[in-house]
Amino acid sequence: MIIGESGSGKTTILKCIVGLNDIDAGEVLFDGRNFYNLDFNGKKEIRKEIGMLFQGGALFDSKTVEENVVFPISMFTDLSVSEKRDRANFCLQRVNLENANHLYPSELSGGMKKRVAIARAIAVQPKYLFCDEPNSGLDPKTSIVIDNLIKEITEEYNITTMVITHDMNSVIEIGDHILFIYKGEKWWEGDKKEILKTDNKEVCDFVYATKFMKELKTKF
Amino acid sequence: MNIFFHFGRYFILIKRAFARPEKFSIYVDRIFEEIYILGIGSLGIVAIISIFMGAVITIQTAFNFESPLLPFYAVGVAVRDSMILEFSPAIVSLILAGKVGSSIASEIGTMRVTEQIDALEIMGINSSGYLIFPKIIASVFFNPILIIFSMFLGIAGGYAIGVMSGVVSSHQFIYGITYDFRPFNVIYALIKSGVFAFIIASVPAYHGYYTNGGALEVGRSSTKGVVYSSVLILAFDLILTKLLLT
Repeated sequence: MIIGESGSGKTTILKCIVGLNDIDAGEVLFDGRNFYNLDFNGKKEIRKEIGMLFQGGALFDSKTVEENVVFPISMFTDLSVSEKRDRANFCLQRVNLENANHLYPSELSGGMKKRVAIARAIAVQPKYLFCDEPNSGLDPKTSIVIDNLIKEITEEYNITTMVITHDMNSVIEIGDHILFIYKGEKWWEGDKKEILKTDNKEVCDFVYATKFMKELKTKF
Repeated sequence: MNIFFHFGRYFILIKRAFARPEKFSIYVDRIFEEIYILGIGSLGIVAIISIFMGAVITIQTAFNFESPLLPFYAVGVAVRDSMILEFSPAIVSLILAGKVGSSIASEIGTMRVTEQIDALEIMGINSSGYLIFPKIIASVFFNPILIIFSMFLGIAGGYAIGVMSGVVSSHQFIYGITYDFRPFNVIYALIKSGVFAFIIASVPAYHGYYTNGGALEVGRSSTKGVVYSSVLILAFDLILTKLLLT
């Protein structure tokens, strides 16, 4: 999980990792394969192993929910129409989204869009799942649903998931290995127990920014 | 420098758009989809403009025939040649640059700012190929059909208004449109419309693809796409006319 203030460079790091932004220095390794040393086809092969949940969902406006989920399956498999539909329905059921197959993204709520995006991301069974602020614009209850869904899918499919967030509820709920980014640099690294006990000033300012968290700190 | 930057980036984008498709059958479906959206969807506007253009050329030509030495069938000749040589390929293409070009630039621009293009790239799909290639092929294939359709309707519009208003008789007009007909003029018009179709699809697609920002920038990309494609159509109209007719 990568956390940090707005503008600290979280999304930029994510975009560098998935190859949407070029890097100035360093390397990005996917199971030992240096992404930026690969040619166009090599990068394409790695990207087929990546599922990504964008901040706004990035669903294709012109396609229905089912078509959105079927799209990557159609692109990269030779399954029959009914097999593709079955796989899409399985993924949609997995994210608890039934009877929405024929709706368009404009007809969906924010939480439903995120769930469709997750279903699309897992449709071709990725090895890596990247989530850019999965809770942005969602109410606390829906945020928890999305967080739990990401956690369940990560464990169920045994995939590596990276979540970018500035939501401390998510950090406490599903955070495993946490990286704090400050002014574009890695500032702190640890797990969720350590982050609550750290005396790093910048991390504390971020974690205990709300009155509720400050009160929680004094109580415990 | 700026113009070279845009030229370079445009050609790189077009080269990528013509790279080998991930799945040919999906691209074929996309081409038919685009033919329907960009081509069939433009039939109405092309029909209206062509009929009115043909009608106006007929009335204007007849109005300017002051000399009794000029035969009235020349109205038919003027309508035919004006429609085939210039009005159908160039003016209709300019109209299509406005209608189709703005639609392409805003569609691709919106996909860019809402991260849909990023989503395609992450899936390992060549986004420029998936989005731009079918539009170019659909345009280059279907625009010449639209132009032929426009030629027929323009001449028919001219005939209808000429005969109805009495400025030229039916016999004179039909004699005029068949008089000294050169089939090469149609080939010249089709070559022009093919080149214009490529410009209409690719230039707005380029501006849409490299949109940065939000809704305001999508609007700007759309305007740029229409303006640059219109200017390029006029420039290539001159170049192709010089190359093919002189």
